[in-house]
Amino acid sequence: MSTIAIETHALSKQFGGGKKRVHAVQSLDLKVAAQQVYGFLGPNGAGKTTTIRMLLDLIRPASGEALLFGQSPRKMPDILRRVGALVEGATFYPYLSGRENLEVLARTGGYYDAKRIQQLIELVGMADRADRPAGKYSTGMKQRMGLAAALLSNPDLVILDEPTNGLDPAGIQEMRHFIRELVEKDGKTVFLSSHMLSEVEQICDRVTIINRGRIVREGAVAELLAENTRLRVDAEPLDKARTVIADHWQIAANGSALLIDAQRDDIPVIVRKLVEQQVNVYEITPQRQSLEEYFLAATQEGG
Amino acid sequence: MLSLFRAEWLKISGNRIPTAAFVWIFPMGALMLLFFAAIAVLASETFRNNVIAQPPDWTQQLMFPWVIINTEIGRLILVCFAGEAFGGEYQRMMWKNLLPRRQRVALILNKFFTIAVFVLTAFLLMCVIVFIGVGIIAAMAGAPYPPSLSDLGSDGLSDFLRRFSIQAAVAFAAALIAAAYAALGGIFTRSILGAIVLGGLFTFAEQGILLVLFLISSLTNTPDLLQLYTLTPGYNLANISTWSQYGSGFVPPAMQQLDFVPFSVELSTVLVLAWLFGLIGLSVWLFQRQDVMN
Repeated sequence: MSTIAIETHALSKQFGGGKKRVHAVQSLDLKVAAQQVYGFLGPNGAGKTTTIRMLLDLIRPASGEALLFGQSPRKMPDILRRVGALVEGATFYPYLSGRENLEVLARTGGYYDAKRIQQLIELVGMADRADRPAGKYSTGMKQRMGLAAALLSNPDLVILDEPTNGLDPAGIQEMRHFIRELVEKDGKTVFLSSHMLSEVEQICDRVTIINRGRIVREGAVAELLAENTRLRVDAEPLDKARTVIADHWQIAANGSALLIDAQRDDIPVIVRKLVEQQVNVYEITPQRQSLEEYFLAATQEGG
Repeated sequence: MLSLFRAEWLKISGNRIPTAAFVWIFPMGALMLLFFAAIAVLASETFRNNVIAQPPDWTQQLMFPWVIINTEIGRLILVCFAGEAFGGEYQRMMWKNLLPRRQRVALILNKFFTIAVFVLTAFLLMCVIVFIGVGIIAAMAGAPYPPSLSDLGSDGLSDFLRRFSIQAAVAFAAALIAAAYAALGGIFTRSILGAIVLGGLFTFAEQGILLVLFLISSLTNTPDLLQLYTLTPGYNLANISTWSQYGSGFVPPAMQQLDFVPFSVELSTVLVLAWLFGLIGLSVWLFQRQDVMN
């Protein structure tokens, strides 16, 4: 079994022609190792859903290829049996109940099992509403059922496109916990697209940031955030401290304290230099950049 | 494949309003007509006497439901039904849920098959209703319900079964052609309304082409041009049906002035099959290449 769950090579897609041509995805190279929560982060219109649709063979790439567990879903459609997906909001036949919808989807895939459906309904907390017509479900209820639908075949790879859309805060918390469990307890791979930075920061192991169809950053969430750790220096006199520090480090911001582009390991050196110059040091604290700041910086650079 | 068929059946049968309006309307309509006929038998002596004077023949009564399906209105109703089934997948954004679970070819072919089986089931039910209902009406009027099986004999019974099977096959083919028109409409427009409108236009075009050919042939004095109409699936389905019922081919009213010899059953069968494979093949080909965006 390939340990790479998702791989794309120069994957591209355009829509429209002539002056109206839109490059939704441009030469995307992704590599997602199995058994982790992988975040696919980008602003609206960045190309996340288009990429997911190409992974699922819903749309044809203009060029390049997408591989799932080393196989092309276009050439080997059976590989999609190892994949469960919730794409761009859960949709159902409104005239059938949630349970009947799951039955239709399971029968379509050839893996109908009434017990499994009941288990999933209970797992997503829809036991008391599963027999109501899906047309009467709220967005949050649909998302829950959508997750159950994605898990029907007990897939190795679960692709979730904005899974917390429409969920209340408690539901979001539950969903995050559930997604982590899929990886930690069941050994599945979750590929999660989102424009919600806090979501990705809290549950993903690695992340790709995409903007205007192109990858702008890729890496482990912790590494990406550590890349730009800053130190907040509270010292007096501030002007003298600024002069001392400016000789060695970049000062990112001024105010009542200094924000400098330096790592935690630099703290002893900074303290020594400041003390040598008779600057009183009250506090030096590492300031971890939030993913939001990182994301904004990355997408501005990339865009 | 049985699993896929059951999934499609559940989807179709669960969609009660369009199914009632476009499929169950046929057996229910028959039931209503029989109900009114029963009231007439009870209320009117003249009606009773008419039934006694001309007792219904069940072998003929059982052919009646199949006639409806190959009329223009019957085919349009089927287009509406199939349009809901095909266009609904786009409109409800369900393809994105279905396509990763099964190959596209299997999904679309299964939809064709299930629609046709569903229609066939409804018409078989209509036959049962007609058979029993007319029998009850005959009994209420005190009339016989010929022929008895002994009168029919084994040759008569096998002839009836052959004609009945041909009519059922024609109905199955008509449903498939209606489904193909609706499927093409759905693929092009990605909506229920579009599937119905475009499918309906294709169905109308089959008749409309006769008018167009008539005008052109009149203007250019080329009457043989009208014979192009006989290449349409509508003509050939009617021709097969007429051959099996009356032992002679179908001559459209507009062509009765011509020295036109109706196609043989074999030729019409080949043409219907060609249309079926062509239309369904085109639908599959287009669907295979389509980007599913919703």
